[in-house]
Amino acid sequence: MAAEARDRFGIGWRPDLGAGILAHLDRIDIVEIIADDYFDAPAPKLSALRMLGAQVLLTLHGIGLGMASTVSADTKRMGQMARLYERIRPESWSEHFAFVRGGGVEIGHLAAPPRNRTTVDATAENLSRATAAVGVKPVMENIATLIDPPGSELDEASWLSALLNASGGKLLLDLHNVHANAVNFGFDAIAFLDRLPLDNVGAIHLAGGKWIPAGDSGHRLLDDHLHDVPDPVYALLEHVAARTSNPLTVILERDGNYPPMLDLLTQLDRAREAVERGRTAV
Amino acid sequence: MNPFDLRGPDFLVVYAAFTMALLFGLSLLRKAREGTAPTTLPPISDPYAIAYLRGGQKAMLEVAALSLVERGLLEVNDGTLITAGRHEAKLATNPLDKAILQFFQFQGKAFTMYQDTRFQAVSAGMEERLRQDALVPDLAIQEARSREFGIAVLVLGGVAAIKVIIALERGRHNVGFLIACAVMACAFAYKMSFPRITKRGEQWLKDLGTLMTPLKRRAGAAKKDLSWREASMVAAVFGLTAMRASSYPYVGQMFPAPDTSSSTSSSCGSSSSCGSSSSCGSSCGGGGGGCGGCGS
Repeated sequence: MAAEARDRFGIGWRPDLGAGILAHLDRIDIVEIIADDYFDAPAPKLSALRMLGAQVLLTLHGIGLGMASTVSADTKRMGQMARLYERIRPESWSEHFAFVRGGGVEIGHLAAPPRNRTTVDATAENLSRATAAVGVKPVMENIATLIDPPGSELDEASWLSALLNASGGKLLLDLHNVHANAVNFGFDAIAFLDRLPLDNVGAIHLAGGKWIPAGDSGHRLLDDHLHDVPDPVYALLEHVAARTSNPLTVILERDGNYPPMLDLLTQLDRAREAVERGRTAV
Repeated sequence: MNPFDLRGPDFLVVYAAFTMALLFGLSLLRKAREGTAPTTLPPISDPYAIAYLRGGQKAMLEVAALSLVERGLLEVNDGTLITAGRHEAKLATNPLDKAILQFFQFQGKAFTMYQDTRFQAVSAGMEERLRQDALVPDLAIQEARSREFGIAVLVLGGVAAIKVIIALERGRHNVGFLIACAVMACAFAYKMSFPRITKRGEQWLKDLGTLMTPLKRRAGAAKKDLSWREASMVAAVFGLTAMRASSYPYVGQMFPAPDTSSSTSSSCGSSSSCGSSSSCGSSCGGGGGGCGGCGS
C-alpha cells in the first residue's frame, strides 16, 4: 500500500521560519502554532493567523497547561486556549503529558510526573476539564526526560497506555522524545513503540537534539529542537507507519539554529519517504 | 444654533470637523462593503500576485526580475539585464518569467521593461485574477464607490455653497478660502473613495506583512539563508527596498533610485519599510536596496 494522501506533513510555525513556510506552502500540508505565543496577541497578529489558517491547515500546540499533574491544570490558560481555538478554528489542538508548575512555582519547562495511578487519574480529570473548556479533546504528547521520575510505579509505555485508556484520547507521539529516552535509559525504542496502542496515534513530532555530558555516566541526549532529525527517528517513523492504518499528521519541530528552509523541507521529504516505506511494508 | 450663522473662522473649524466625519463615514462604508474576512483568499505563495497588489505592474516586474536573477536565469551586467541562456525563455512556464526572459534576450536596462506593451497582457491577467478574489475592485464596487463619492461631493459642496450664498447675501466676499477648503475636501473624498485595491486587499497585504516581518529582518542578515522563493516573497510584500544592499547588491544596480530632485515617484517613497524609519528614508536616495541598511 503506497503512502496514503490522508497522511499529512507539516512544520512548526516559528517567527523566523514564518515567511519561509509561506513561500513553500506547496510542500507543507499543515502548520503547528504554539498556542501560548498567541494567548495575549494583539489583533493584527490574530488577524494574520486567521489569514494563514485560510491558506493551510492549522493545529494549536499548548505548552503551559500542565495536564499531567495532581494539581488542577491552569484554568486561566484553559480559557485562553478556548478563546484562541474559537478565533483561529484550527483542525485540532494538543498538549503534553507533563507538569509545568507545582506549589505555585512555575518550573519553566515540561517535566515528567511520577508514573503511577494517581497521576493517571488526575491527568484524565485535567483532560476532561480541558475538553469541556475548549470543546475538543486535545491530542496528548509524550515528553523527553533526563531523569526517571521518582515515585513511579509504572514504566513509561504502561503509563502512557493507561493515560490513553483513561482519557480516551489520541497520542501525539514525539519520536525524538522516544529516541532520547530510549538512548538515555537504555531501552529499545522499537520494543517501546510496540507496547503502545499505535492505533491511538493521531500525530507525530519529529525533532533533533544533541549530546550533553552527564557527569561520570557519560553522555545524554538532549531533546533541544536545535538540530536536524537524526536517522534513528526516521526509522521509528517508518516503524509506526507500518503498524498503524491511522492517517498520520507528521510535524517537524525546530526551535532555533535555523538552517535554510530548503534543508527543513528536505527533512520533511525524508519523513514522507519513511511513512511511504512503512505503509508499503504492511 | 445654526452653524451657517457662525463667523468665517469658526465655520471653517466646523466644516473641517464635518469633512473628517464624512470621510470617516465613507471609510466605514467601504470597509463594510468590501469586507476584510480572510476566506477563500488566493494563495499566499505567489509573490507576483502580492507584488502586483502592492504596487501594480512596476512592482510585479521588479520582483520577477529579482526572482529570475536569484534563480540564475537572468544576469546583471553593470546595471543591465540579459537572459542567462539562449533557451531559458522557452523553458520558463510562468508567463511573466517567459516574457521577461524574452525581453532581455538582448541586453538592456531594467527600467526599459516598465513601458513595454508585452507585459500589459500579463498585468491584465493578474488584475483579473485579483479582481475575482475581490482584492481589487470589480465593476459593482467601482459603481458603489462612485455613488458614495458623488453623494459626498454633493454634501461637502452643498454645505460650502450654502455658506457662500449666505455670506454673499450678507455682503461678505471673503469666501475664497472656504471654496478652496471645499475643493480640498472633495479631493480628499476622491482619494479615499477610489483606492486601487479593496479593503480586503489592504487587509491581505497587512496580514502578510505581519506574518513575514521576521523574514524581512533575515533578508539583510544572511543571504544564504533565503531561497529564491523566500527572497521573492520578501520583495513582493515589502518592496525591493527591503533587500539589503550588502546581500543583494545587484538590486541597486538594476533599479537605481530616481533622482529625488526631479521625481516624486521614488520606489523608496512607496515602501512602508523605508517610510517607517527616518534613517531609512535618508538612505533611499543612495540607490535601490540602500534602505535595507537601516535595519541593522
